[in-house]
Amino acid sequence: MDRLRLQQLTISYGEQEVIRQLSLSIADGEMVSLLGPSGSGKSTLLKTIAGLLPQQDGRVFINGESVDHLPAEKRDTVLIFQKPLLFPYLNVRRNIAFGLKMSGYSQAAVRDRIRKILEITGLEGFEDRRIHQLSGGQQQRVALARGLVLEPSILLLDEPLSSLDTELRQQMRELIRDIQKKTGTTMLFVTHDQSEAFAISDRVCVLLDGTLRQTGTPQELFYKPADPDVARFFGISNMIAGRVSGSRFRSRFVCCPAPQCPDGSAAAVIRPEDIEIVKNMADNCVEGSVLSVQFEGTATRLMVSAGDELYKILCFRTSHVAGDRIILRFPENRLHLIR
Amino acid sequence: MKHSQSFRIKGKAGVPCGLLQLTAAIGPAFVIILILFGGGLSLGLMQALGHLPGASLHSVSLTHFTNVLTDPDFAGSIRLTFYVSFVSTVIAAAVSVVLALAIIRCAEESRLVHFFLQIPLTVPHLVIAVSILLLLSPSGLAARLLAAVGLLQSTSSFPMLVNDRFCIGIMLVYIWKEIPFITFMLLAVLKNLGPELLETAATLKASKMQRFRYVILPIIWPSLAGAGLIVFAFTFGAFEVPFLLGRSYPLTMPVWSYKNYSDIDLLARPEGIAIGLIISIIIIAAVIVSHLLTQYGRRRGLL
Repeated sequence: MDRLRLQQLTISYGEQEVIRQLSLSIADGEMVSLLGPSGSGKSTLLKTIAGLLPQQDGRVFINGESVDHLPAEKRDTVLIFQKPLLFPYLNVRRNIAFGLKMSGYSQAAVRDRIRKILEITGLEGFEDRRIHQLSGGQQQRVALARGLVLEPSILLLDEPLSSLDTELRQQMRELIRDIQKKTGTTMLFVTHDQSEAFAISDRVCVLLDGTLRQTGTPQELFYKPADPDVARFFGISNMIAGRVSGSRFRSRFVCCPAPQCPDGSAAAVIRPEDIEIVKNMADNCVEGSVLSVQFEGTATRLMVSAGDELYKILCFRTSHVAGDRIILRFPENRLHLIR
Repeated sequence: MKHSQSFRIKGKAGVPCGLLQLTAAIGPAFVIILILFGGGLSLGLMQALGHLPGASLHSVSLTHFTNVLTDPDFAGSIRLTFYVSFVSTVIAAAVSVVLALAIIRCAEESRLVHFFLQIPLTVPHLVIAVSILLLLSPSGLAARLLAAVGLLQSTSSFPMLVNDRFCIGIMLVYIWKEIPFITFMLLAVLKNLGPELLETAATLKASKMQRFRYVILPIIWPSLAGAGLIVFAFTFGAFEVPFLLGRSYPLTMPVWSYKNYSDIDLLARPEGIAIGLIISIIIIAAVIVSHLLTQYGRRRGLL
């Protein structure tokens, strides 16, 4: 049974629709990321699932039951925000115990659950610390423990790592993944950071302009975007327009198999790092001229004009300079067709 | 090195300034306050101790304090003063909390709310006391109006709301006057609170009442307690409102003090000042006790 099911959900702020007709299911124990740029409606969606915002249309099911009529405190979800939002007048132990106290757990049960969650989150020894005595990472860890201790059906995380520095972010990412595996908690993790979403999730959902555009494994999304917008979101701006005919895609200089692809116009996309620079012309090659070279440390980004199109290429340790004539090769197995 | 740093604070231009500079900066103001306030208090204390050369009293003793404390009216007076101050402070605080929570959203968007709240703050206590007297006395406007429309048989059947046993008139003045003051203090805190902490509490299974009890109350408590203490201290020590709207017996402590101090018999003055000093001691004790209670509540996770 799905832990969470969203059915044709539409959410508006006044006249403006923020989320449109969104459907999504999350299975028990799954770690799903909702990935999208700022303003795409990610946080709004989480707040609606948590019961903090009403939807205009559609339904929310948790454990197979509709929760549309339930307020936030009656839903079996916990939302962890961008900021830790700990209660400043309580120490670590009392912050973690807050939800248990509100739910009316016995003292013994509270003690037992807190002991376990402190162990899982590595917060042993911090129980009696005041909030201002903790670092940013420790505070976010307490916020995580405070949510996990309630053992919700689904834990909603709204960019919880965005306020942390890079190194701490990496550590917290691993900690969340580790905790998720240990506890089997179903999690919906919202982020605008692609690498974060890919590193942490079993499945990633791409939300663009309030619409769920594609759901799949990190690899599927990265290498096989469903449409041009998703492709652009993942940094693929190399699109070659052409036609599919008889299970083959053909453009002016690119040809590749297109199995199970209906005839008609289509576009082949290719990641910047998959375009090769070769010495001799061959199949799927085109000659172009380097317009600009940007050294980015690990890689160098070339902007190449070939035919009437511009291509972005990522290469390593290149000596090309602007004005060079080069031959680009588009390997068949790196091309992905979209409509 | 660490020790010396703890005594240093950064000046405006980022230059560390030492204890000496700090003393030089606030010293003049401190000395003036010490002379004016401390001097007055010392003179008052000397007079309360019986040193009043103008009335040929030169001895220094605790006789006047003892006289006040053993006076048969003392217990009744302190009870009445405490009752008026405590009840009006609690009612004003409770109404302010409800009001602040109700208007916080409008207050953030509209300056008009602030304007309406500022009106009672600008009107002196004395003016409101006189207004209450004219409005709620048995021969006042309300009584005559109700009698004129036939809701009362005569003005004499209007309930006693001024110079009454329960000090309703006095408390009405204090409540009307202090609600905006406490509300302003609470609005400032609630604005900073924002919605997210309450949303967090909601997803952590706190009901509306629990969110008020376990999130809002602990956060507004320092401001509420501070404002409440200021109101309590003021009402405990203020004399003009109970003087106008209170009964002639028992008297509140400040009215009793004022009557003794302004008595044509100069020998009554030391006792008037002694009552004033006792009022001050009670207020200071109230501040300390409330601070200790708050600390205790915080340690126990009650606040």
